[in-house]
Amino acid sequence: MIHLENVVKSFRSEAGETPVLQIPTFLVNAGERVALVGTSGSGKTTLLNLLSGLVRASSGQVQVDGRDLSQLSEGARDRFRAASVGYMFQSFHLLDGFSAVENVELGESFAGRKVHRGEAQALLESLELGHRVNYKPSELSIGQQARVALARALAGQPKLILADEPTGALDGETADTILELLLTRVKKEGATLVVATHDPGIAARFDRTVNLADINEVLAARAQASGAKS
Amino acid sequence: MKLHQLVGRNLRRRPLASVLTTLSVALGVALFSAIGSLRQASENAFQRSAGMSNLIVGAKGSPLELTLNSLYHMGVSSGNISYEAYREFRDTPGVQWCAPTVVGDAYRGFRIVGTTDEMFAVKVPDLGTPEFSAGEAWKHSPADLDAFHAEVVEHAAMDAAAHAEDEHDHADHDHDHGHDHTLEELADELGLFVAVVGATVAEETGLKVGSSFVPAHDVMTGGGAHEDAPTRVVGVLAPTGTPIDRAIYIPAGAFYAIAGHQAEQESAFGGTRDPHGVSAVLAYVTPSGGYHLRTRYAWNDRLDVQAAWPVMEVRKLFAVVGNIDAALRIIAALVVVVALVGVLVALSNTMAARQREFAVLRALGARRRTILALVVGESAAISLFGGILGLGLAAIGAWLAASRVRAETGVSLTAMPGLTDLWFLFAVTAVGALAGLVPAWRAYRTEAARALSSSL
Repeated sequence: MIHLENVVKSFRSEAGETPVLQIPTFLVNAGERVALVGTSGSGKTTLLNLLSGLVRASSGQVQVDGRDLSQLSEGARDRFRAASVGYMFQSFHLLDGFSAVENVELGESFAGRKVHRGEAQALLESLELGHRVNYKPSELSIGQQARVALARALAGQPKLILADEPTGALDGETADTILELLLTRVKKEGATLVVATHDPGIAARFDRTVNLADINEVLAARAQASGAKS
Repeated sequence: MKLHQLVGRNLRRRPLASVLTTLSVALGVALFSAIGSLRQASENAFQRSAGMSNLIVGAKGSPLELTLNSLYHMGVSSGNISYEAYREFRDTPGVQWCAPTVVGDAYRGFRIVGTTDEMFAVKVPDLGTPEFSAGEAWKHSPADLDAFHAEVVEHAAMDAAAHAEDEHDHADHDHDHGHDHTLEELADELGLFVAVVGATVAEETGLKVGSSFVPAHDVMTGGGAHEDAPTRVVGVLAPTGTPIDRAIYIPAGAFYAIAGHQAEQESAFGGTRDPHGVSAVLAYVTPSGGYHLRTRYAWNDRLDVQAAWPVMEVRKLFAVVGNIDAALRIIAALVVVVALVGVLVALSNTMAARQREFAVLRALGARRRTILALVVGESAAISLFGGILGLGLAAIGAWLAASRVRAETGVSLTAMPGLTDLWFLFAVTAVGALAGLVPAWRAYRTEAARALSSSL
């Protein structure tokens, strides 16, 4: 499902090109549920953005579902993301002016398919939010917002679901529930799941855990450099 | 969710800003449209009324003043032409229809027009001859008027002779100057103290068939009443949307008979006033065969009369008005431009706060051009709704103004937004969309990954 080969991602700064990711190889099988762990700044979010096509690799191959995103134009990556990727953010990023069900509809609005209100509603009902479909995000509890964000990521049955610290804003019990829902729903849909987290406890519940420190050579270089200084 | 739904939802998310910017566009468009449609409707309506008569003969002076006074009952008559001139004109080849008018009296602000029953044979464009909603026309043919006028002249001559005799005897005798009866008695005997009233007159004064009223002197001031000439209403005209609706028609003979309209009466407004003459002659001269042109030139060449072409006079009037109208339209267009700049500013001010929204949409698969279209769509929608609202306001404003014009002149305006306004609406929407490109470009350039990470 996912195959990264010699991927480098650099950002331009005043000091010049600064590499943040350098991954010789990274593989995720279809249907696999993978936790990406690492400290803040280790490149978890950047990797997710590469996998979604939101940003483009500076070099190397980013193969997702048989397509090399590093070779696609921005428009083609957008279409790919709309059709094949569900994204769940740490602070959910629900749009304020839209109801819960409309936020879910937005999840598949750009895929070029006809959006059915009933499907979005059914998705929310399956996540026990049937009684809150017309509520605005500001009228929902944080746990309910997380469910809406999950529903939005699942809308349109994407093959790949990416989640960036999906439980980072939740308390322990709610986080547990949301994580369980995420894992079970993804398994049920047969999708591939890649979740970025800094919490090893969460990571343990996934099929596989990948530590960015092990695959990102930039981190190794940084560690080496700081070791040399000390 | 379709783009237009996103646009609509985003506008509803900021109701105050959306309503205010829409209103500002609406006011500009309303101003622009109302000025244009009112001017056009006014000209059309005035031209329609002008179509009742294609030649007006009256005293020398301003042809526009003659037209406004004799056809639209505006202002005061600048003088009379001789009765002989009227008779001569009546017999001019090519004159299909003509009706003399003698004016100077009013009832509750509505002009009383002395005329012949030919007046009721006038052809109102798109309507034909005016119909009666109640009663019927009085009879007072040109021949009847000629006969009565001869009596008037004879009475005047006898009065003048008697007056000279009185002067010679240095005596102030109170006698009948040799008349068998007075002109008023004669007019009464002939049943001339009758009137047909226009629809607006009937509506506003309550006059109806069988009602009586006392004419008063002077249309401008509604001055002294002619208590000795109570006049009975015998007919009420149906609405025509022309100045006919605001007039009271009486036989011209009655006008000559009313005390105070006799020979010694001089014009209060200057000009040449023959007390036994007529104020104007409304006519329709056949346009074919050059009759209209020849008649107009021939009668304008005379020293005692002028011949005005109403359609041309109205056109000239509106050509002058048109310059003012063009200036007003430029101002209104500037108001629209300022309103659209307001839309641009209002949208631009939201761009920083909406970076997260655009980033989320991009993360969900929206293309950059979708984001661009979203913001341009919002700007265009505000302009479109503002434009539609503006046209609605213009229609309401024009309707109110039309009521006022109708009350003042009897001319019915139908000032509805036309094709030009639809083009203007299209132009406003297009310019609004273009204005939206400025904030839309900023939205277009949103780097989703950066915006999302900075808004965690």
